[in-house]
Amino acid sequence: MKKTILFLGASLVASQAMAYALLGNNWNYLPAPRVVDFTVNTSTLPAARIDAAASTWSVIDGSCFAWNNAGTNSKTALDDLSGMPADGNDIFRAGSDLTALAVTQSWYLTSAPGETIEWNMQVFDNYVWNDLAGAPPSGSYDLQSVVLHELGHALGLGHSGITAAVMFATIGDGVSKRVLHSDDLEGFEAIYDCVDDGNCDTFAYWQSQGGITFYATFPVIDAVNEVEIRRVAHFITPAADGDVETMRAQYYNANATPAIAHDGTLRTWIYSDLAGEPDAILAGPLDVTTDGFAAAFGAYDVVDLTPLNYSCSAGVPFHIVWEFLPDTEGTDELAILGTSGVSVGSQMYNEYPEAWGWWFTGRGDQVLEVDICYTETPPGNIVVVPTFQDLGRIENGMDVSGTFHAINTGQLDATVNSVAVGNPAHYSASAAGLPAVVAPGDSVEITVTFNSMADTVFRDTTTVFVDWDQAARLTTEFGVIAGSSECEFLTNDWVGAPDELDWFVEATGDTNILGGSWFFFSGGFDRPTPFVGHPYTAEGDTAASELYTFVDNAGLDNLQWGFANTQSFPADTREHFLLVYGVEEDTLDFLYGFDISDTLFWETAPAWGHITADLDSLPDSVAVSFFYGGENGDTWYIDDVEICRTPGPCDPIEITATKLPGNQVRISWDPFGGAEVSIYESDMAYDFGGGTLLATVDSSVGEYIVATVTNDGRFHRAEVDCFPTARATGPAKIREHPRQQDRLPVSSLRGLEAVQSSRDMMGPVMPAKTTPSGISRTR
Amino acid sequence: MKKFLMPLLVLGLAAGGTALQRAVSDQEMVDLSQEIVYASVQEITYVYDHPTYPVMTQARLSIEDRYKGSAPGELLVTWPGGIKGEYTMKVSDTPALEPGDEGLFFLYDKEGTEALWLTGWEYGAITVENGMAHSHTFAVDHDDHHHHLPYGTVLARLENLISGEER
Repeated sequence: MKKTILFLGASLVASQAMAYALLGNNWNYLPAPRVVDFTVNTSTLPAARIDAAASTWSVIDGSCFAWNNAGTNSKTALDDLSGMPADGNDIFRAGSDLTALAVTQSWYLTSAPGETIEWNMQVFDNYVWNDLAGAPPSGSYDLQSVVLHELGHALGLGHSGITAAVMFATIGDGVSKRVLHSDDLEGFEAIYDCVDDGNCDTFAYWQSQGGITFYATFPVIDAVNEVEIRRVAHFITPAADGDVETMRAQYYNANATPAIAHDGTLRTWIYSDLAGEPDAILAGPLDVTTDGFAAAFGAYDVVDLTPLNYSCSAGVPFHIVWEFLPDTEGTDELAILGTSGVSVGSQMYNEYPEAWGWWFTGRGDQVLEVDICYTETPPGNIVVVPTFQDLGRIENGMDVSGTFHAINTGQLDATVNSVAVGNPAHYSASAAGLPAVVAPGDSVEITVTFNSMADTVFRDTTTVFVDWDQAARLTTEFGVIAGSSECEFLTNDWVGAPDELDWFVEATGDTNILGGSWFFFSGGFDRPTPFVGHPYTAEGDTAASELYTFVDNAGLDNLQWGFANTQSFPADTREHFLLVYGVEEDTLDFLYGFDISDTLFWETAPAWGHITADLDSLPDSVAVSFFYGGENGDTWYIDDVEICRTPGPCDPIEITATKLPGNQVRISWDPFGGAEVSIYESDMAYDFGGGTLLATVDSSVGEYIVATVTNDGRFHRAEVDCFPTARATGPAKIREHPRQQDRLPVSSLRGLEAVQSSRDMMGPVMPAKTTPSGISRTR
Repeated sequence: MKKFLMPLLVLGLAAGGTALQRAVSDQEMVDLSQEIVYASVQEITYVYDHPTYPVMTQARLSIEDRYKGSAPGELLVTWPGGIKGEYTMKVSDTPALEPGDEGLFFLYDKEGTEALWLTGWEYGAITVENGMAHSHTFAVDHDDHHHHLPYGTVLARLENLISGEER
């Protein structure tokens, strides 16, 4: 049974009133450890800043309360809780306000006003926000500081009267408040007071006297000899810096009949134990009223010692002295003491009527355990921001760098020892002056460089590690996409694990997916043309499906796809192709494809791979399909799809065909090095893949050929295969459609019913004739 | 625009204050406010048709003195939060007003409706009781954290700012 203990010191209460304030509703009703999830609308707010703010609260005592970033949301407005159950705690940026920088609304049952059910945080969008790790410049408001303040509200704190506190009601531009003030910490502890937080030194009186020193002033009789101990001291040498917080006592009253009145005052001091300071009082006395710990057997009473305002330091000994002053003296009669063990006989408790102390004599009343607890000052906490940095496309051969900051969001110094990258073959990390002691709020700048390499890397990421005095932490992700700036992405969510922001393709069914069953999810990426999926069954041993994407006026020379695939049955028969069609009016003409059946499978967790497909010179409108044939269900994530005007390191090739007399044609080009040119004859403007090979030449040697063609009445052009040695070898090119479906009426796709998805379903819509931004034709 | 009003049987909201305001000077409080009035709260209601907030609290004020603007004898002031069904929504920096409360109100038209907003949220409502004003920021010397001060001090500060003497 926990007893109510009231402060007598009015001045202490008055000083508290100016400090932190409590809202009244919080999460303390949850059992510890209280881990409260929230999500962030990362399209409007950088998660790194939010995480850094959340971490600052969570490191106070993660075993007691912690925020947890559980993912993303797409919220742009505050929630209405009338549609219970609660849908989670959200953070987003939207809207505007005249004076408020951010607002947090919290919901609770009116009948249970202390228990927060849900909160939503809106950061207003009409301000200049500093969402970087560095200090906010004048004129901008520091996002991390503001969110740190709002999360304080969300956990139950009101506004503080302390100007320097994070929870002070206002903040100016150019001001950073990323480190909690002691007043913020006290407010936190007032809500989430985990008494036994692992920092308690426990003293068992009767059960174990070894090593326990009692500091007694009057009168002293040891336990074996029937002692009366009126004042008790507990010697503490704290292992870490902290604040003396609570004392608790388990009191055993064996003589419950008659009931013993123990109402009175508990008076507490803190004494120094430093040499040369014998009995120097450091704090106190602090008087609290109590009912005398007359709790039931085995219960604890807790004495709040925080009004002593004593901060202890690691290794510096002190002791707490406490004395009980009963309201009623000398009235107790414990005529019979002890039931076993040492025979203590009778003890007259009114022996010293003027100083009726708190008796710990015999077996009648026993203090079984006394815990002196202190709250350790939150240690240093290194957080590295941003959590990822996407440098996007770089030109081949470039060295590019990104800057990160290892920030100490804790309350004590932290030492950063070293920095490293997870992929040293391609990246390097450096920071000046390591090892470095980082004060709270300060940071170490880390430079991560993507190194120029002989081979071309399509997409590449690394993790950045920071080793500091508490842990080697996996911190962040850094990546680049190497290649030509003449490319444009159809998707841009290329960092991180596969998710539903990618093109997500799932085929279901345990055996033989007759008719296919495509689900595709869209959203979160910008694509220039519709992405249309259709079930498609072809004759053959296995079923097949194709997922088409149409690209107009793309000027395709080069296509790169990033794939991640979870293959549940890798040993099964499968046929996976990337197929390219020309689109002319109502006809899809198969041009060629790439066999990717055996190249991109991950049997356990998805991991990204990619193919680079040289698509030659294609007509304006093409359709690229992902062809799946297999016996079992499969899941593909498609990302990093990009189209390029130039095929990576190859220069644009301008080819001219001039009709000569007879069946001769002169085909010329501007010479360039490093590529093999294959020239085909074709009777269609775009059907290069289906034509007849005329010649294969070294483009760096000759400037033209004269070839004999079979049909000189039609226009002829040439296909260029560009495979420079520096380029990764692409998948095998196929010239035949895997189902001999060389031509397919586009209108037939219209008649197919696209598979419904629970997300953003797009019907079988043919592409509009638009030119993707950033792509221009050069032919 | 006519709001859907629900008279309250149980009055008195929990104290608000869960947001962060930018630092606003006293002069800016005056400049940003279209109406500055001394008024008393006649009625508190909740409305549920706001496009952004699921529940809004509205106070009907009876004006006793007007220092800026041209408000009629009564006006509506609104702020987010309140009771909806069995739930209560507590919103940052909102005042805790009850019928009978009176004080100085800094108001502006945020949404083009008849209900005005408090400039600086709860800091735009300075309640006065027995001649003492409770102000969060206006006319407050933050060095001594003295938020209770004679209303005469607040009024003198206001009139100086309106007259431009402190510019």
